[in-house]
Amino acid sequence: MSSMLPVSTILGAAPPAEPRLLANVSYPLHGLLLVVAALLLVSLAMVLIRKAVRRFKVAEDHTGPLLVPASAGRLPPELVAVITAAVDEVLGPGGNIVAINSVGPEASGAELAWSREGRREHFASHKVR
Amino acid sequence: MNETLVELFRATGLGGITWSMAAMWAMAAALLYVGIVRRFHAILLVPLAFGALLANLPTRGGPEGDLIGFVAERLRLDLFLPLILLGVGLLTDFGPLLAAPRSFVIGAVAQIGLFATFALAATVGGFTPRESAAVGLVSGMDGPTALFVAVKLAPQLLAGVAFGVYAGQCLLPTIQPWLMRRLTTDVERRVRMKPLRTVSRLEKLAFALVMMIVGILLTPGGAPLIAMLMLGNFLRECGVGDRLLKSAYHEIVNVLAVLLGIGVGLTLTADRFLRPSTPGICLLGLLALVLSTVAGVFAAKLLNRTNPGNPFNPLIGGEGVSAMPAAACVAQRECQKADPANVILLHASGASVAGLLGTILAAGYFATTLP
Repeated sequence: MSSMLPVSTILGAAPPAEPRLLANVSYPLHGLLLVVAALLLVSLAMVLIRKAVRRFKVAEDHTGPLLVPASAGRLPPELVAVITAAVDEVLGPGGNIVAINSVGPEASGAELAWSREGRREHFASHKVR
Repeated sequence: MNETLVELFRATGLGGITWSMAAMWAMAAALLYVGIVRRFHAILLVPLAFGALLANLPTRGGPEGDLIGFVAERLRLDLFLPLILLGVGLLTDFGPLLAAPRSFVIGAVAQIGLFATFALAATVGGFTPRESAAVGLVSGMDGPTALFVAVKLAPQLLAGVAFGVYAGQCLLPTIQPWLMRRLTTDVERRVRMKPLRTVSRLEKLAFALVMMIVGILLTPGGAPLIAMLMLGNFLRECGVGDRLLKSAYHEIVNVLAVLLGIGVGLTLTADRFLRPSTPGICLLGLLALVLSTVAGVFAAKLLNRTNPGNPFNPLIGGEGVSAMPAAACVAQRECQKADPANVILLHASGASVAGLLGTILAAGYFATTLP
């Protein structure tokens, strides 16, 4: 490891020589500021990296062909049958399906909703100590 | 005949038993009870209690180089603690933190308790600055980090710090809910948070590198901790070296947990533990936990004012202490009491890992500036 000066030293933070209140406050205060600064710096760096990744992905998407789902605007009949059977099983006979909508605007939205429900069920089934 | 019996008695360890040793046996029994009957942190508490029992039997001082001596020495040489953090890195998903970068603020603000405890310990508690740093780290309730600082800066307090950390972890599910209910309203506890976005692998890999570089540049003294944590996480996210990953994930981490438990238990000798400083360390640690929870909850409330469109459930604020995963589970349980269908577990774990990073940086600060 190199012998460069850490920022904490540059800031002038030094351990208190005597147990006096002021000295004992300024030293930990420097430490707290350093921790806050470090985490905010990392947070900022990650926001910038995310933006760069997004830009890169958008540029990549524009180079490829556009994908159009085969069943856009119309659900395949087997999917309707599966959903009907599931509703009948859970709610019993007599239920009406008025509409079938995707949970989220995108595939990721639906995925998140299912994950969320799974986590809720999983957590509700356990006693947390 | 009598002389032979006396010689035999002297040769056994029976003559070396003291009252303070018996008191430590009671403590080891209590730890075994908590670990086995209450099933709380059994993987750590059972070896720790066993080590404590071993340390307080008049059988020590045997030949150098035996297994017990080896374990105790490796703890002193900081071998287990960074390796345990490698395991923590392997088991930790930083995705929830990266999906909600506001959690970094919670993790940073929650360190107020740690630094306030340092100031109190040095000013009122009569501890030296190096000892105060070790006492302050108890607030993080993060075993490896607190022990790392104690081994480095105040080895004479290692027993008290170890006990303080694990006692704090046991008391956390009791203290935090009580505190959280008093700091938040029923409406605040019902706040539903937006689902977290999926974080790409590239972002997670970049985070491991950025965090390690920033951490080591700012607090070089904490390099063994932050480097091993991020190495473990990088191994987890990079998706190569499956064989190594599986071994590290199960066997290595479990073996290390047992060795660390025994190693810490061996430090709990009566002469080191039964000191006036031990209750002081525990009390200051608990005070720090309270301060960190209060600071975190108010920080979350403040964040809500800056961004009311995407509110923070203030219960998450209390999770800036790095006791993973207990703290996140406490927040989820309290949230579910107010609204059974509300799930904040992932958000809470994001704040919790931010707290872990904050505690490691604080440990690095002390290790750097208190030579």
